Amino acid sequence: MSLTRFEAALLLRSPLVWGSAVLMVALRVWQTWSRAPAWPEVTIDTAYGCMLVGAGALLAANLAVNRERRHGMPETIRALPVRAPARTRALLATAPAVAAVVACAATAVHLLSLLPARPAGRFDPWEALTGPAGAALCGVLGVTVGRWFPGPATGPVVLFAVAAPVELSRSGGSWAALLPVILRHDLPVEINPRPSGAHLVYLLALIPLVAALGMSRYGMRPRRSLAALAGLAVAVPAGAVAIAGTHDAVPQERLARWLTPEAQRCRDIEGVRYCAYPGYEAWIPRWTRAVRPVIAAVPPAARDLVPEIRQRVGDVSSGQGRGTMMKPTWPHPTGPFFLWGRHGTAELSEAWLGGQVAARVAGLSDPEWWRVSITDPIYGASDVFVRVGTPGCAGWRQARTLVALWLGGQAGPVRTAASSWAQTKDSERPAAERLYRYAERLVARPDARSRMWAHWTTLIDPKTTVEQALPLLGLTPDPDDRKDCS
Amino acid sequence: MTPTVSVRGLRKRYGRTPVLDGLDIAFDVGVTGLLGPNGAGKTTLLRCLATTLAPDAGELRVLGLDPATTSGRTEVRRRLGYLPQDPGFYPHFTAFETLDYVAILKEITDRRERHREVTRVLDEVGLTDRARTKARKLSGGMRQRLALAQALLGGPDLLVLDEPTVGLDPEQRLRLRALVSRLGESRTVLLSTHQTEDVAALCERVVVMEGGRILFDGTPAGLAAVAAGRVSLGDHRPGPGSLFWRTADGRYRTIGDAPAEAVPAEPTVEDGYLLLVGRTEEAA
Amino acid sequence: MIRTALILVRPMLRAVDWAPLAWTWLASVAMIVAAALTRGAVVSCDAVVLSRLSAGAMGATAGFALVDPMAYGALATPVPRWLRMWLRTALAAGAALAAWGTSLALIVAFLPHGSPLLAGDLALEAATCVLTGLSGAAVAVRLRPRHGRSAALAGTAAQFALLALTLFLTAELWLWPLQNDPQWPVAHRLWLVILPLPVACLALANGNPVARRPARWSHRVMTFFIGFFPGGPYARTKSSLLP
Repeated sequence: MSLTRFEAALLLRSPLVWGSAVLMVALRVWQTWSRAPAWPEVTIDTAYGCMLVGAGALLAANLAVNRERRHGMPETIRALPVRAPARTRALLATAPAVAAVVACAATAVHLLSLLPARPAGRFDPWEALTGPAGAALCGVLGVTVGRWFPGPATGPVVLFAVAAPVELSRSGGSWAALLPVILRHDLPVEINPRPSGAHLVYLLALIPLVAALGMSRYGMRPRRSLAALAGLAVAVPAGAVAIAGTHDAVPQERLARWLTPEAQRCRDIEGVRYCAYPGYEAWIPRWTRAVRPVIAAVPPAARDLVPEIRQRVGDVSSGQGRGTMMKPTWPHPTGPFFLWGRHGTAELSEAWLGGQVAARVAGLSDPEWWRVSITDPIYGASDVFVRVGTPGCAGWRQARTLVALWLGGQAGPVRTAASSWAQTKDSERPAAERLYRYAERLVARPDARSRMWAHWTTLIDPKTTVEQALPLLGLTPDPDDRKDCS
Repeated sequence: MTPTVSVRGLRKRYGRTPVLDGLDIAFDVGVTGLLGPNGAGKTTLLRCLATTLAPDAGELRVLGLDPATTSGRTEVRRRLGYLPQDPGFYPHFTAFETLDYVAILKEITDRRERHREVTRVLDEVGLTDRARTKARKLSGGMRQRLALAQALLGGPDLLVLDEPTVGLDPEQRLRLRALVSRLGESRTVLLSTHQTEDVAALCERVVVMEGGRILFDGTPAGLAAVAAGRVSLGDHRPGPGSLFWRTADGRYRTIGDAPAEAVPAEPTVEDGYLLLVGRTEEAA
Repeated sequence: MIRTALILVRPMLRAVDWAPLAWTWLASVAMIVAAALTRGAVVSCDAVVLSRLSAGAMGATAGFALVDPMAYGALATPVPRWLRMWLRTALAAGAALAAWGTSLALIVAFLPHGSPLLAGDLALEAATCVLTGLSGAAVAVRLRPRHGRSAALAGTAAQFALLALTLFLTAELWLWPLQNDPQWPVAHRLWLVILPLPVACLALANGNPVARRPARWSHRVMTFFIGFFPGGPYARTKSSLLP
């Protein structure tokens, strides 16, 4: 017992362990700083972050095991009454416990720090616990491989052997359920069910199994065999259930259910209908804040043009890759996805949603589903699949496109608002740039609203051109007014 | 004549602990032994002389060169043989390969000359028949002799040996004494040791260090004379506070104030050393 | 000096501990083969991930080549320390990059026909990772030569630190994009900027010990970062090769 306490104190003091925990919390806070949190995504990413703690615990445990082979210790240790099995047992008890406690603490600190932001979605405690379980597994692995393959190089090699499959699992495969964290997920996470409970049980069962393997270095005794068999007896079926519950593609019937209006919960606020998926109603006030300035800029008589704001499912796993193979059963795809900005990027999200509403109110052509741009400005550099949606050359000549840009400019920067419905091709860029500049000039004019309202019907008529609209809006043509479009 | 090694006001500290405290000493041709308790600064001094550690302050000249400059250091190392306190080896290298490697590092680039030199030093230390044995299979004493052999490569003018007799059996120690004493006839040999018998048998000069300072600098006979009149032999165990031990014939040898029935005994180098160091501890 | 360096190559090749790098290479090859066999081929995004992980692992274990059990004895020889250490560094870097190269060749062999791989950019990443690992180990070996092979784990720690720092960089500074990401060329310009940093660290760590007080600022910087972890494997002892 005293040896266990001694090893625990040493491991807790190890900079590898607490340093990786501090690093994990710092990284997670940084990664969630500019996104409105949603529990399902946060718990998965935090479990992934616990792998940092696991890595630190693995290296620290491995160093602890190899300690007695360094600095002339072997000879000294061999002459002592406490033998290698007892020393190993102490480490096997300590390493996973310390790793789990530290990972739990780090996870708790991070998740609690998100509470003021009122995360959306459903909190899955099993998913949250897989992080500490994975860290514990790494700790016990460090001891076991250190006993079987002594030497300071073993730690890094084992780390690589654990990290590589986890990273490779991003591209799919139900075998990922056998790893410490199931990385791949859709957005929303809830659309593709995850076997979090079975996965957690599987990880927990692996701990005594790996520990027994570590002790088997000194021969298979009945207790060790029993522990190994018990671990195996639980790990195998739990792992099988976890594999069966991990789907590469979102089940079709589930996707179909999600794309019906009945799957959402709706609320009417200030004359606009907002519909969110269960658990995400907390984000409706954020959407309202985005849409409100756009609606305020629409003439009261035209406010029935404001569409329903319905939360949308973006690209989800479809077996071969990602792509939503079905259309939602409600018309006009106007609405946010499962991401929203925070701390500086909220304005980008607001501009983006405001731009969509503006396009709809201005009567721009309802694009085909697969031509709707789903670029989200807060994604930054990532592998978001971008689809091309553009009004086309004809659209860039229409006054109502300018109206849409001006309306979107009420919610945020004109270009950011436009990005939600216009991904211009290079050949259209001069025409688009021209309109962006006019819209920005218009946004700066204090009398723009009165002019818009006065000439609304004319401006949103598809036959009205930009040249005809300019004098109505009090704008003079740009000296280098390029209209090239092909 | 310029001494081989000249040290003036040498200082060195590790953190806040002074290890060498304004040392002034010079060494010349012959064998000088450094005695002192653990932490006295012997190894630190030897490392400074071997150019593997830079002092914090003071003046140091080795073989007439200044080790503070790169060129000076390199030239010193060409004429230096150093046996560190914890010599390391490549476990899979044979004795011959280890010395061959060190000989290359000593700039003996001609292969034939190098192998000749390696064979010579192996013979000097009595490891000729172990030339093809891997280092990990050598006993502790053999490894120590191998370490000494690498210090002898190139016929250095200055030999710095840090505890060269560690791990050697009496016969090997005798052999080493013969070798070192022969080398000391024409070279400067500095060795640190805890074995006062080695100092007595081998060194023309002995320096006792304690706390980074020199307590004694003279001949072994002079060191023994420090204890003159202070060593006694008796049949009864002395009282507490005395420095004594039980000899092989069951009598008690006391250093310091003699117990009542004890008779004076001939002081040895060890007695003088113990009295010096003990006095310093009392003063502290 | 050149002649000495050339003569030293052969004994140094034997002296260096190649086992950790060899085991890492084997693990890397096994991972690539397993990935290819389970999916039938290595897809492009997996190829990039495998290349990076392999480079990181090589960098983490290449540092074992810098550990010299004879460091103390060899320091008192005329052949300067920088020569021995740079020779070891060159051999270790060469071996690590060659091992990574064979892993990359294996990945390419398993790529579907017509799947390009930007090998040059990946090689730049690999070189930076390997040199980072070596620089971490070089610093630890210089400051704590008595810690033996454990000092080489500083190379793993350096890799960890590099990865951790880069995870904080986002958007235009993201260093780990996939090939089809518009950020790819930008990221690799950044890698070019980063590459000299571990080289500079190696230059500091592999240099000769300073002769005189006060301790060179570079040593104070290195000691600060190593001594930051009290009671860790690199706790201060008297065994530094520097004052």
